[in-house]
This record gives sequence, structure tokens and C-alpha cells, in this order.
Amino acid sequence: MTGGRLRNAGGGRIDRTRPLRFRFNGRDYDGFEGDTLASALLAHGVRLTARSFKYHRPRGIVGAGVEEPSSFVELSGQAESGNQPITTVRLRDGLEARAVNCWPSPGFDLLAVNQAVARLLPAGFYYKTFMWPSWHAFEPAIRRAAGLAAAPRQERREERYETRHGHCDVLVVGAGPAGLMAALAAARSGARVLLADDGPEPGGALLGCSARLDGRPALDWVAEATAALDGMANVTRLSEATVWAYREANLLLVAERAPAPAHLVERSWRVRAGRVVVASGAIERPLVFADNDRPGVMLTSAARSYATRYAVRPGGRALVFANNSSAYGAAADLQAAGVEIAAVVDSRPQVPDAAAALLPGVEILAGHVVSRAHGARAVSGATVRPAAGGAGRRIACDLLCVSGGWNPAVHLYSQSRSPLRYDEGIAAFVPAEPAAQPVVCAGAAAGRFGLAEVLADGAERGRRAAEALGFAAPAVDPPAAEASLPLAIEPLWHAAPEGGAEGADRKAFLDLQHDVTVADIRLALREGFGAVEHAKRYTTAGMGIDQGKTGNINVIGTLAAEQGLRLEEVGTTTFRSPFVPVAFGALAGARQESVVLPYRHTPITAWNKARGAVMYEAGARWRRPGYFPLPGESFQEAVNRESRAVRFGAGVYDGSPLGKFEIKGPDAPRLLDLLYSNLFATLKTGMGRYGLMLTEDGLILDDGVTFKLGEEHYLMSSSTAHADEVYRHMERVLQVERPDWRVWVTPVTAQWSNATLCGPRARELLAALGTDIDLAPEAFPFMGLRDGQVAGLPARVCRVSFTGELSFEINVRSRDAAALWERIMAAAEPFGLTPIGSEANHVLRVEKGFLSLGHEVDGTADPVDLGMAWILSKKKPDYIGKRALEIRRARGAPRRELVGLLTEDPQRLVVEGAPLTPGGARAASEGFVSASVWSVVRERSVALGLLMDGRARIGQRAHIRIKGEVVPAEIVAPCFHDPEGALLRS
Amino acid sequence: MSYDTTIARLPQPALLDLKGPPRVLAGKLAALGLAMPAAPNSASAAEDLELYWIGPEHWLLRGPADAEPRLLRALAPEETFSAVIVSDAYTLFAVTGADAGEIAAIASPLDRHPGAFPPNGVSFTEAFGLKALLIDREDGFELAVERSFADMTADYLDRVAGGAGISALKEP
Repeated sequence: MTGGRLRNAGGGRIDRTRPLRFRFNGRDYDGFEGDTLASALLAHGVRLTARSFKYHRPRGIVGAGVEEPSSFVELSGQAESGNQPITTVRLRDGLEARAVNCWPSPGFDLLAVNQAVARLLPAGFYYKTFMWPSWHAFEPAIRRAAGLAAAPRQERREERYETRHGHCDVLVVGAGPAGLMAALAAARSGARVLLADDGPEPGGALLGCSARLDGRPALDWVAEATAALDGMANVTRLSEATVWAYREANLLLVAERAPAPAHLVERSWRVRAGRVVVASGAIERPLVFADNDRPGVMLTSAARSYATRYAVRPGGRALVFANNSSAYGAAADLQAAGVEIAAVVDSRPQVPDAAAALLPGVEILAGHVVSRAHGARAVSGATVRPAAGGAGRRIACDLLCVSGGWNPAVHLYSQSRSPLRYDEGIAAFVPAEPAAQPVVCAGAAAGRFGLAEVLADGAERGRRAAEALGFAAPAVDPPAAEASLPLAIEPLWHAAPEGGAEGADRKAFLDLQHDVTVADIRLALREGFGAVEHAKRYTTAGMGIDQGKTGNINVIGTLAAEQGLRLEEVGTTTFRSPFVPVAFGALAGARQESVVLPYRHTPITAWNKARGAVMYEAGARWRRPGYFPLPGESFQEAVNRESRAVRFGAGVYDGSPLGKFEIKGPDAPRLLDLLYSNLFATLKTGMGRYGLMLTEDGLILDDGVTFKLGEEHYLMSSSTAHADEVYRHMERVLQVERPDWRVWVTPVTAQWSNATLCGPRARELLAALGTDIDLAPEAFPFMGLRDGQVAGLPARVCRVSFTGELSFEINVRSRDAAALWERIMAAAEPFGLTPIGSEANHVLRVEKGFLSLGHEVDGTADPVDLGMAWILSKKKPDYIGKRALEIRRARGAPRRELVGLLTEDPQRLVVEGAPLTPGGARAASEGFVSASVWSVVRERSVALGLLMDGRARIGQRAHIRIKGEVVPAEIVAPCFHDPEGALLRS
Repeated sequence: MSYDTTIARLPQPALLDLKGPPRVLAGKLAALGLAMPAAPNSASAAEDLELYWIGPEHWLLRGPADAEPRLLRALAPEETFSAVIVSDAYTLFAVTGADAGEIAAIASPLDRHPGAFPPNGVSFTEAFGLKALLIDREDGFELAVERSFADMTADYLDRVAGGAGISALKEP
């Protein structure tokens, strides 16, 4: 076990005593604990790790962290997941990974044929090409060709995802030098600090360089600072936890990839922070020249990180191409790790002596650029020419390190909707004031690059964040850093070949992830997509996983250079979340399988299931029995049987989900008269009244029965689906419009459960159950309410009817519901009592012509539309919706009105929701079928509908349009059973 | 492979929803030996009773299961306030153990840090996307949800507890 032929014998943050075996693209390798998949592969000299998104060009490893734009892998086995940047996959024993975007392998990829026709595949080619007959005809094949990894095929059985909430005073993003100092400064004030870092160990950029603090290796200080933080009870520190989104009200989302609880694979935090310090560092950007995507072209900082952190030589002979001074220290670290530095190509005309002094004996080519990389599957050299023009020469190398400057990682700051400004001093966008939320950037994320300055900035930002929240934060002295080279940079957006060789700009990549080249930007400009947001959409630059980490500023620079603008005139695109790929599982957490959607049960749900009920949701998340099929019975047979039981014998159903509210207080009658369109002040104790509630627009909000229980005391029922809405409506009236009224509303929906006996034999059955309530019609009339004992249980019985039959709603405390149902069924034998589900209920109410929310009441109907003008009180001075309704009615325009519909073929059931059109023509609808059922009393199909000017058209014919046919139907009155209501009053 | 918690579905207590002017209610509750809670979203207690301040002019009175008649008698007559029995409207779960706080953080966005939520804190919040009343306890917390959501809440609690909660979810 050597961990690879390019692995140095000493150094690095890897544990050579813990070797790990892994498999990549079907081949076995070894590495060490502390490696990433990228570092382990580089140690074995694996250069070709991916194929590009569109052209399927050979690609290698470019970065060393979240910025990786080229190499993404799909993990298999227990850790199966897709689209992981190869640089962020922590190596573990038995890891299996394969490159995405290639088949069968990056070495032999069938779609590499795209390279040959690259000229035909510029930005937006598919929008222009795949138009006939429809884009959707091509979409599946194109997505397969251009897509990244497939969705995992296996469910995770042993590990779970979790989502959780978190709270802190100060959230510090990043545990590099600035983040650690900010966390220390804030934590010493006593503030609750949450420190989240995306790496497996803290240190940030210090992990990948040879800096010293207080005269010792910087990582010694990191260890001490981390230990100090871990020793504080007010600090929570998360590793391998990326803050990936910044939402409103300082809500930030964190993906924690290795949470401590062993049963978790990954978890997502929703953190509400008092203040946020973004110390997320900076990301080095590439340089743009022909074939700058060849495997072996690598960010200089990444190469340095592999050499120092992982003890891996990413190449034998490196050519360094830079436009700034940061590359010199990095090259020195590479040299110290055993990598030969062929030369440093610096586009600036002058290289500061201090920079050159870091690389004694190395050729420094000031005022030069790399205009082309050579090699196919791995870089073998580069053409270097004077920046001002002139002949180039070829320099051999197997590693081409590029450094185009540094982009502060302002993604989260920008996601907070805070502004950015272009800083010419560092040629990058930096945070600007004022921030839109309580957030600041610190250190390199704020555009500060000297280590001493970064540490001091972190300490100051952390201290101020705590102080802003009222904590007394003592000053914390940062460790002493050795003087470092200031970041001196001269921007370079494109190094073209001498004379502008034909097609070179088509291979000069700005966004490696999406194969966007300088030529694509030029095409976008020619086609009028010059605004940065347009160019992004036209070319896809900066989209997807990358979100502008490496490519964006080069795109903006190119747009600026091509149009002769300054970068601030071009501006940036919107930085979007997620900052890194986040597993859907981590977003969903435990919300899977049975709890994907909320569900509600009544106390007899188990009883219903035990009797074979087919259960499904029937409004407001209640799972209710749809029907109770007997063995061998079809849906329609079961519904018919249940409906007949109610019409000709007795049925019982569970009406518990109806909304219920107790209303108390001296102003309760005033509230009811304001809410309902009809008069309630005259209601007598022990009686109820049906009412309609309207919206301010005069449309029907809800219907229900309200009973008077005593002076200043009422029991209101609402529809099941609108129970919450009705409660909100009442509370809004009381809290906003009439706070002076003394009336209190208490929801009691779940306090009471019921069994509703209905049918001609309901009274007999109730008597057989045993009750002290006088059931005689004159003693207990329709719409009456009586408290008493039923079947030995305290009960409240209401004479209301949704079925059109004699009906007794027996309400008991929910604790007694199961007992009530058992006793009813025990007593029911002689009566042929049948439990009925919501389907039979639907049939019965349609036969009777009763309205139902979601069917006839669809948010556009008013009472007059439904033939209920009688419910609009003329005595009351006002009620909610009165004015709007009267204005609408005064206009006299025709409206859709409730009618009955009888299809000419009585056997014909039509689908609910089917449109009604004039003469059945393919024309704008004049209404729709709101309900359609098989009627057991008419022994034929019956339907209700809303039809334009419908009442005046009774006796005429309407036409129902169904796919492929027109069904004629007679327009009739909307009631098919007992229109006088004699049965329900019996 | 799970959190260190015990989760129990509690037997139904007596619960009264009280709304009205605090001065009037204070007088009535004093007869039960109960002081009004000192701050919103906190509780007071006396013998076997607890009183939760859960909203503007809104309290929840809790007692043992058989206390409904006693509490109604003590509050009668209701003249300028509302007292409604809601014992059956809620189902209570108790989550206890070293990791109870983890379960709370998964279920609810409520900040239970002592600086933000007092040790006797009581508040309506969201639990698994549902409206729920969270009652802080020394060894964990209680969660009251509308009875209709009890089975779903039990389902969810079991899932987030890592499967350890299954047997504990039965009524003790």
C-alpha cells in the first residue's frame, strides 16, 4: 500500500497508517484516510477523470474543493448518489465511484463524437435545431446525452436523512483563519455561535499552504483555536457542513454530510441566525486560452493543496501561468514537494522582486501568456508567447497551473440580496454596503488576502456581530502572521493565439462545467444577448452546480472586453442556491413514505379499516371511508347498496371531520349576523339554522348549521374542507375588524366525534339504542339539538340532514366514539343498518340537490347562482359580502346557475367537471357538470351543473362535451328527491 | 442506531380552553390555588393543575383526567369569559431522555434555548408541519397535537427517533 506512485513519503494531512481501498471506473486503487477521491486518483497518476457536458472532451481534475468545475462522479453501493464533485468526495474504504457524462468510460466515450461536430453545436443550438415537430420529441434523448448522473436506484435501508432546525446568535460560515477568529471573538462574548465548515477538518486555506502563525506551523494554531471553541458550551461546530442557501429573515440552510448520530447519512439544518459572518474564503479563477480544459490544466491553488495537504505531486514538471502574485508562493510549495517548475508565465509586464525571489532559479516570463495548451488526454506542453504579440515557443510540461486571480466567495452574501461592487484593486466583485440582512463577509470573502489582515478582519467582524446583538465582546488578539505578498493583479480575460488562429476561441473555455467558450459569448453578443443575465441564459454559463464559482468573472470580463465596457457596467448574474449539490433526501428528511403528506384520523379509523372500508382523503387531509365493499362487490354496487340502505332503511356514517366551533360571549349574536347572510339573532335555544358565509366579494365561503346552546353560547359547524379557513375568517373579523366585541371562538372539531344515523328507520334505531331524549317529531323537531344519554353515553344529538332523509347526528366526546359505534352496530342487526362512506353520501346529497364545497361552490358562485336568494336577509343592515353581492346583482349580467341535468341515455354517467358548451360545439364553455351520480331513487344517472342562465333554460337541452363525443342532457330543476323536504322533517 | 429518547403517548388529561379578560380569570383561578403565569408562553402550577398562557387573553388549564367537573364548577358561572372543555381535542406525547432536544429540533422551529424559551415555557409552534403545543419539561418536552393528527405525529416521532420509539408509543 503506497497510496500511489506520485505520493510523497512524508508530509500532508493524510494518515498513512490507515490505508483505504477504492474503485474508480471499474479499476481498484488505494489511498489513505484524509484523502479525497481526487487526491487519491492524482496520487496514482489518473489524469483523465471525466468527459465534458456537451462536447464530451476529455477532462481532468481542476480544483481541490467545492469549486471543481469538471469532474463529477456518481457513487454506488450504500452511498449511492450522483453529481458529487470529485474533490469533495471523502475517501473511505470500499468506495465505488464512476465518472458521469461518459459511456462506457472517460477513456473511451462514444459521445466523444460530439467533438468532431462541435462547430455545429454552439450555444443554444438545441433551441434552434430541435423545433419540429416539438422540442419534447427530442427532449428525452438530449437529456440522456447531456445529463449528469442518474438518480439513485436503491433506497437507503440502513441510514436515514434528517432535517432539523437550529438557532444561534452568530452563524460563522467557514472555519478558515477568518472564520475561526470570528467564532472565537463572538463566542467569548457568550453569544451562541454556530460554526459550519465544509471540510472534514478546520483550517480552510491554511490546510493547503505552508503558512506559519506565532512562529509555528499555522495548523498548530488552528488546532488550538478549534480546541478552544470545542470547549465552549455556547459553540456548536459542524464539519463537512456546507451552508448552501441564504433565505429571508436570516434563515440559512446547511447540508451536513457526516452528522455525528450513527443512524444518519446526511442532515439538513434550517438555521435562524441573529447575525451571519460569511468567512467562506475565495476561489481562484482559471485563465482563458485555447484548450485550457485539457486534463492537467489545474488551478494553482489546487495543485498547491494536493502537494501540501495530501502529499501528492499532481505533476512532474509544472508550467505556471498567472496574472497575479499569489501563484509564486504556491509554486514554491509545489517545488518544495518535488514538482519541477518549468517556468512561470506572468502576463504582467513587471513581476515584483519579492514574488520572483520565492522561486530562485526558475525562469520567470514576465509579459507573456500561454496561448494554447497541447496534448489530448493529458497536457503535454503549452505555447507561450509575449503578451504584446510575437512568436511563441513551446514549453513541455505535464501540469499547467493557472491563476487568473481570486473571486471572493460572495455567493451567500449575494443570496441574502445584498449588493456587490467591482474592486479594481483585486479585479473581482466584493461585498458592498448596505447589506440587505444582518450579514457581513470577513477575510478573503470580503476581498482581503494577507493572512494578518484576514485574521484581524475575522476577529473584528465576529466581535462586532456579537456586540450588535447586545453581547459585551472582549477583544481577541489574532496570532502573529508572517508578512505575505500583497495580491497584485492585472486582469487578463483571454489569451488568444498569435494572429487569432481559426477556431481557437471555440476551445477557449470560460465555463468548463457547461462547455461555454469565448466563441459562445461572441455568438450571444451577435444575437443580441449581451446583457449578462441574457448571456447566462443563452449560453448556460454559470448555471447548474457551478453557480459561477470559477467561470462567472471570466464570462463577465469577456462580455466587458468584447463590448468595451467596464465590469461594473456589465454587473453580475444572480447567485443562486444551492452553493453545492444537496441530496433530495437531505431536504426531505424524515418526510417520506406514509408521512409525505399530512393525514388525519377520526377515532374510528381503525374500526372502519377493520370493516374493509376503502379509505382515502376527503378534504382537509382527513382519511375517510369512501365505501365498504362486500366480498365480490364492485365500486358501483357497493355505493348503490349503501345509498339504498339510507333511502329505504337506515345507514350510519362518521361525520366527525365537519368543522365545529364553540362561540361564547355577549356579542356572539352580532358576530353570527355579520358572518352569515341570513338572520341568526332570532334563533331559539336548542335550535339550529342553516347559514351561508360569504366572502367580501359576495361569493360563497362556506355553509353550515349553527345551534344556539344557551344565552350567548352557540355551536357552529362548517364544511370539513373549510374548517381552518372559517376559523381564520372569524378570528380576522374579531381581531382586525371588531376587536371591541366580547366574543370568543374555540375550535372543537376533534373534541366531538359522531355517528350520524340516517334513513326512514333512524328514529327506531336511536330509540333501540336507549336514550333519555324524547324523539317524537314535535318534541325534537328538524334542526333541533338535544343533550342527553344515548347508548349509555353522554351525547348531544342534532337533527340535521345532509342526505335528505330523517337523520340524527349523535355527537359524543371523542373518547367515547369507539364505544358508541360498537353499541350502534350491536343494536343495528334488526334494522339492517349499513355503514356508508363518502361516495354514498355524495350520491344522496346530489339526489337531494344539496350544495357541496368544491363541486357547486367553486369560489365563483354566489347564493343567487345556486337558487338560494331566500338566504339573503333583507332585514339585516349588513353582513359580510352584502354590498359586493348587491352590486353584482344590480348589474343584471347573466350568470352560471345551478341546474339538474338528465342525460338522454339514462344509463350514461358523465365525468364530473365536464364542460357544457353551446350545442356541444368546440367553443368557450357555458358551464360545467359539478356532480354526476347513479341515483338509487330515480334508477338512472342524474347530474348537477352550473350553466349560463340555467334556470331560465329548464326544459331545454344542454350539451356535455367529453373527449370524442357530445352527450345531450335535459335541463331540469336541481333536485331529484323529495323536493318538499317532507322526509328530512319527518 | 437511534436517539436516546423515550416517547410515550400520554393518557388524556382534563383540558379547558380559557379565553377572556385576565383579571376576571385570575379571580376564578385563584380559587383553584392557581396564579396566572407571569409571562406569555409560560406556565404556572399548583398541586395537580397547570395553567399555560398560550395567546392574547388565552390560556389552557390542565388537570388530571377526572378533573373536568371540578374545574367547571370552580369556573362557573361564565359571565365575561369563555371556558370550553377540549380534553378530547388534543393528544399529548411526552419525549424524554438525553436526546429529547434533538427530537424537538427536528420537529419544531421553536428555539428552546433557555435564553429564548424559559424552563417552564409553553407555546404553540409547528411540529412536523402541524400546529402543536410544546410544553417544556425538565427531562424533555411534551407535544400536544389535534387528536386527528395523533397517528401521524406518532408515525413521524417514531421515524425521527430512529425507530426506537415504536414500543414506547403505546399508551403507558
